[in-house]
Amino acid sequence: MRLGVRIFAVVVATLMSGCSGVQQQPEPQATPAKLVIATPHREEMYKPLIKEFQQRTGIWVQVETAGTPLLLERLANGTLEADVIFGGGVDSLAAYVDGFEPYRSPELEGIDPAYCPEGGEYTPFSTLPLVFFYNTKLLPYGTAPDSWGELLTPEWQGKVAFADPNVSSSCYTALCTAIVAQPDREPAEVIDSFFDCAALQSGSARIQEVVSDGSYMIGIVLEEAAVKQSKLRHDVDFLYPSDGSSALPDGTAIVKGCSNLQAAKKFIDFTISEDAQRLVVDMSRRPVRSDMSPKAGMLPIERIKLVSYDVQWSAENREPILARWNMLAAQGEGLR
Amino acid sequence: MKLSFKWRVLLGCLLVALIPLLICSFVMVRVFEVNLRSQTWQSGELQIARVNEELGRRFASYEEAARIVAGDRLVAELLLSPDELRKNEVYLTLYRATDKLRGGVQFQLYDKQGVLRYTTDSAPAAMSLSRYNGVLRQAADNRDRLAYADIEGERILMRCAQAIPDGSGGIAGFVAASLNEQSFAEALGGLYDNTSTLYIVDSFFEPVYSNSMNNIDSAIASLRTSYLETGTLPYDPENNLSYHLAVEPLSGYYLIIEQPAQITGGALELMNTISLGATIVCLGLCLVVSLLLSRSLTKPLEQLSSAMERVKQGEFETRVSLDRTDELGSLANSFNRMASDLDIYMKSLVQRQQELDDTRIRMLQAQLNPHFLYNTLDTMKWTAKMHGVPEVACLASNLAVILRRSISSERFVTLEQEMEMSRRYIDIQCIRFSGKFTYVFDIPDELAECYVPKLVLQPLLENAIIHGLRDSDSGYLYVYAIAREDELHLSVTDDGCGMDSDTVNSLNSGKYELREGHLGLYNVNTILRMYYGEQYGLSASSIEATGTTVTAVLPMRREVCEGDEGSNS
Repeated sequence: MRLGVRIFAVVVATLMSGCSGVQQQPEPQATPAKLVIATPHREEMYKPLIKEFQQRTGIWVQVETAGTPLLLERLANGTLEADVIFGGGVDSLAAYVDGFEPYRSPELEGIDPAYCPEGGEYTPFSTLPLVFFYNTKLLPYGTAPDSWGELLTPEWQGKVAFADPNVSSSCYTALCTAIVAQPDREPAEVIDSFFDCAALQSGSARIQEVVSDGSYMIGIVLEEAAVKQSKLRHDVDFLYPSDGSSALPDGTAIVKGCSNLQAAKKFIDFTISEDAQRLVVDMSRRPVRSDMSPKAGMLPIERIKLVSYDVQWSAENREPILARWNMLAAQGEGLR
Repeated sequence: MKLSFKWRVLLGCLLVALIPLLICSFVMVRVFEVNLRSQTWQSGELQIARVNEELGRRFASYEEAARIVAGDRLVAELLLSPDELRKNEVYLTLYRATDKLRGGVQFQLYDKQGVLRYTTDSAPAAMSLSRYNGVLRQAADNRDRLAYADIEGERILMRCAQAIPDGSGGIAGFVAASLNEQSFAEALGGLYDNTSTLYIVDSFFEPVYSNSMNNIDSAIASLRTSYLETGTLPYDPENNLSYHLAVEPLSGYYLIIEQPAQITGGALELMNTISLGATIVCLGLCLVVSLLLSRSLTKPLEQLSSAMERVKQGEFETRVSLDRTDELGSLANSFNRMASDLDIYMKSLVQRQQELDDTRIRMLQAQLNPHFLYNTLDTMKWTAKMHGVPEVACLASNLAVILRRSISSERFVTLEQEMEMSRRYIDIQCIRFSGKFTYVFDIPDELAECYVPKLVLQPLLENAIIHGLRDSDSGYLYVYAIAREDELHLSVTDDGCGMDSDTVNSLNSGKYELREGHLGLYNVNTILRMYYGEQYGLSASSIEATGTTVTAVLPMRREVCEGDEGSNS
């Protein structure tokens, strides 16, 4: 009897064991070298660069996208799972230099030293002047405000397309630029008037869209976006504020303690290499290499009035400036 | 492990029904599933091999065409110093080299600045390409072979290009081919199943082509992540997708075939459920059948068993009635017969017991106070002697002795003692029938110590004297004992008128019944039979008018055996 039970059990076990399902799979290959990049850039911006980088180095790149402040916040928390932060205005990056691994690329020789931080915590990539972008059907030539002083007045209350400086680094830069460009006004007053004039959009990418489609007359955008739109459409134009704009570069930084340090360094080298900067030029951005000029048709940088923007000052005062803005926003909520 | 019969039947039924069913259904399902999976796998591998082969063939043909164009001196010359008037010669070369290859594939010639000069396309996708990045850069870096690049955001999906040497180590320009979705579809259309999805990706898993272009990006993104992490493509059990991977050697592109499972998890589950259901139904059926079967066996057996119990208790009228013609029915019939036989036997036992009791009662009733008898007879004897009548004294004293012996409790006496009694009896009879007969006792000494029932001879003597010597004036009586093996034969022979043949025969047959006037012989016969058994008793032989011999046959007993007593006295 016992023997019979045993045989039965063996048969049943054999039948049941196969039920889990053994799957044939392809043979696993060796896992290739990889690099994880976190970037606030748009896809049409980073894709060609990354493809080129992969092609040349054989390193596989994984891309994560998020807004600059979010990435930096995660960096501060230690929850950022990336090797490199690619993008973000340097005034934002400067506030978080402790989280970056300093690296001086050999390619830095060709870079304007004004753009590079002393400690080498981040490497500039492209420079981004701020412009006033306006719809020429709604604001004919000559009627658009041509300076911060003209723009930030009650006349333009609620008419300037803008985005939340907490989230968009370019908008934060604009806010700081407006403060620096108007030394005769109190910063608090500038912030207040800016807040009054601003019509907040969901993101900085929307600003150019809502000006182009006529929802708003004017907006503050980076030169690159304005140039692209101007090429596509005949009813938009842009200008550089006469009391001074800023042309902060955006940068690339290696996350401290990342797992693919060598690959990260190679990436930084690539971003400021000639070929990469050529791509930058093709995308209507301004290169950081001193031996390269921007795309034909764009104003040379010397001809743009720039304020002396202190990145350090901007980084240190980030909290109080944003705190004031947020207080105004909360009051505004309460009023409505 | 001791199981009752009912459980053994159930277990047997279960084993017989369930094991084949389980084996069949589950084995079948498993075998089917494994077979199907294996077939699907084989088919996937075949598909991907076909696609790979065709793609490789095409790429090889482009390589060949590029080689021809790149080697053409005229082309190089006219790219370096363009001449509008000789354009057609270049086109001729171009078209000839790419003969049969231009189904959806366009060929271009770029100069060394990357500006488009010649194209087979009527609406070219790009008027110039960057020399520093992209496919032209790759072609410049790797001379003499095609560089392959996938293209984002334009109408075309990929471009391959080769540098055209200028004869002195530099580059005169580039020959390129561009492929769009249609060219891929046409080339690879029938080579894989409609149900499979084909992905062509470059060596970094950037998507190039898929037969479902709409969601290529999201699909590839997840595959890419998996490949980066594990070096292999996943098996997606949730969606039942399996992947095949192959590498096209010329371009380094990966080909991925995504196959849906031929049989969904749901279908398999259904089959398993059905098997399970069938098993449960079988189980139920087994239970029912086995219960019925065992009931039909155990119920009659219980009936028989309880009937036997009742018979054991003494209810001999118990009968079992089973309405069956099978083995159990015949068993019941046998039981019934046995019970009725037992009934009869017990009744006859009871009857014999009763007869014994009756006899004893009669005996008891015959008993009178012995002392009264002895004293009276004694007085008779002395009075007779005093009055000088010796015959009366003799009668009285003999009678006293005989009575004493017959009343005493012992049931067996020695033969010698029995003879003593017989003599006294005969003495009495002699006085009654004075002078009418003579007698002889012939007892061997060695038989004198045998034990016989008390007063066994007396009825025989009485029968001989009264019936045999009835009509004689002088008769002869011969009493003798013979040992025959282990039997003792006591015979009384008279030479009287003889016994009628009826009585002789019935005595000999052993079926001697009580008849009027033969009570003595009946008693002796009964006593002998009851003490010793049916094979003993009386026998007789007689010759009419000559004589009769009545013989009592009993076993030889040298001591009194308790076993001879039929019941307690």
